[in-house]
Amino acid sequence: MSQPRTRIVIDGKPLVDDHFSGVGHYAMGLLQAFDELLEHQPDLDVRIAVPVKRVPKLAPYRLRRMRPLPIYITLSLMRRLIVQDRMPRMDLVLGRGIYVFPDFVRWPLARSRSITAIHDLCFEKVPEMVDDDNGRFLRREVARSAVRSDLVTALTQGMADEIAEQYGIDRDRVRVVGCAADTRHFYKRSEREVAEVKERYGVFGPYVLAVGNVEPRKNQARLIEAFCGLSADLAGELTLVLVGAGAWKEAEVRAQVDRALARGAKVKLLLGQVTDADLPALYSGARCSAYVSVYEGFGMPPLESMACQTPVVASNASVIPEVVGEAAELVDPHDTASITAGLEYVLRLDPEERAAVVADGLANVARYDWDTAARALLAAIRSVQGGSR
Amino acid sequence: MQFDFSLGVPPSVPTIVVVYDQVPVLLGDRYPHNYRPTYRAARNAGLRPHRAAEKALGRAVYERHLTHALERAAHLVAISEHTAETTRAFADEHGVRGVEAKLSVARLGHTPPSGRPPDLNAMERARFEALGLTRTPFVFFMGGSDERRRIDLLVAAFNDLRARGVELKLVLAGYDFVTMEMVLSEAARLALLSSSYRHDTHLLGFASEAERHWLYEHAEAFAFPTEHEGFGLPVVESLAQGCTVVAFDNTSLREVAGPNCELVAGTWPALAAGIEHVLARGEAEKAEAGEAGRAWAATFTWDTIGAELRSRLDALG
Repeated sequence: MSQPRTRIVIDGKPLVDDHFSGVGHYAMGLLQAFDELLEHQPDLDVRIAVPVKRVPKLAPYRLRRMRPLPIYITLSLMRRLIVQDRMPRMDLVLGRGIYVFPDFVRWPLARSRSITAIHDLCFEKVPEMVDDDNGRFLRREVARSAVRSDLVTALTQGMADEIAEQYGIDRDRVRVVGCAADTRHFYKRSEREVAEVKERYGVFGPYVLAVGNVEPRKNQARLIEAFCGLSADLAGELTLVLVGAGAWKEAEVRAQVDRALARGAKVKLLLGQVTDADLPALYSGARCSAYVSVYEGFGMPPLESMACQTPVVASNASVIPEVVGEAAELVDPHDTASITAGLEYVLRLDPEERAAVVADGLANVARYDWDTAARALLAAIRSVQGGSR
Repeated sequence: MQFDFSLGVPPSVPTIVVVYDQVPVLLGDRYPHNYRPTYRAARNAGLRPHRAAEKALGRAVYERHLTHALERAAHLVAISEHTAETTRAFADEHGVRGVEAKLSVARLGHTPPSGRPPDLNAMERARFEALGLTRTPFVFFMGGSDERRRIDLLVAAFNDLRARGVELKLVLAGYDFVTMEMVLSEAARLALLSSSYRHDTHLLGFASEAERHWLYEHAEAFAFPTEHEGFGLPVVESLAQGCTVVAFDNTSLREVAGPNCELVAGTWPALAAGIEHVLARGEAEKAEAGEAGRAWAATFTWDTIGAELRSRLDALG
């Protein structure tokens, strides 16, 4: 007789949401690696809970050992129930087990154990940079999730410390389940592809790239200002290319772009236009990339840039120094002059210095891989296995 | 001799079964589209219920045939130690007794090319020249594109090497590799089509004997990124022609690999490192390794399995 299997239910909403966000990428990378590990974990019955109409959207992820677990409501109703705090105790419907929530918020549960991923605390640390409604919702739900979950996971040690301190929970209850850049996708692209992609997006000549949602936290306005402050020889030949989806208050960034253009600087805003498939070519063709957020839970773009062999100018705020290690030029995101100086330094590297920076970047990228993250998740699951609340 | 062929042989006639592998069931759940999965794995992979049931039925029939063949065989000859191990495990799982006593191992042989190898004809030579294979180092793979052959990982390794400035081309030969769009394995197809260096990847389709010989002779390495083999004859063929092999370190490949083989972990970074290591060798080292590989391949003769079968037949009287 086969041994009883422990049911693991994973909230699959980030995988099937209309907007495939950073959390969506995280969930995809982690679960695909976790799926590989399950080949040797026959006692785990892993299900991905998604609204029934979204089940077909799971097929492209090719998760062979995880079965979909349909929830018989729509995604919008589910979202509304969560926001209005009227979600029922889901394990009474979906069955008892260990619930894994990769997107900040834990569902109410009656008798099951749970693990919740908290990626950052921007709604607590820099509330002025988060949309009011969303901030209010996250402050309420994440605090509750942190306290009620058996384990919380964070992307870095620094963030794990912050979470434990913020919510007054035992540090042992916060585990690091990291993430990684997908180096099968992010690698230095051929000159031919770079030229094709640049032409498609109307990018001409050398350029500095900044990737990230367009919102105040990403600090694009100050980056544009810093770019305008570059010495005349650099400013004359370079374009600043901003790539990202509009998230919040993007009008401010648009206005800043217009002001920069009026001053003669070359700035191009590609708002929501660049596909994931073209991003590696844009990184590969850039002279350097800039990531000057004022607060992050991880910061994937610097790693992606390093994987594409493009040097990085990165913010020294929150956990970004931990993520980029020694491989990026760190700047103060609140100081325009510091950002300008960082850009000048990286843009003036001679070929040998640049090659050394690129090599450091590749070595830094190699510190992160999805297999390690998936093993950490498996260890977290094993440590809460063996009972119910 | 292959176990399916034993069906229909009258029970009074003793049989000797040569066991090559159990890939269809061993990899069924991992690659449900290619092989014979359980119903649950087929459904998880998105197959409709009737198709999943058909696959599961295929698996049950395969298992029944194999069980029957193992039970009634007077003797079993596995082509590698690894196949012998998987056969024992299958027998244990399916309650077949007495397998250990009648199971022996005799590895397959390789027929060395006789006489002078054929020359490329003018058309073949022109094609290789046009593709730049006469000027640029290349690694090649030859075989089918079923999913256990991880062409997607080979392409990822190739992308990585090219991205790091290594001058290299990738050549894929075999019936499945005519155009990138026609490659059957979805993972391989997507990897090929999305590669930034696809202009340096050449699909040759079927390769003639002369072309195969030329490829083995001029390639920097024969890449064999497979997850499971019952034996691994392509490795021996490559070594016999003096071509270095870079393969994954698994299953029976550990047994057939000898000198001039770079066995690496089953990931694309390891594959890239293996190819890079091979590229870094000097001419003298390369020639020495080639000779050692040839000598190793020469030990794989058909006499081994021939003698084993002969002795088993003699024992049957």
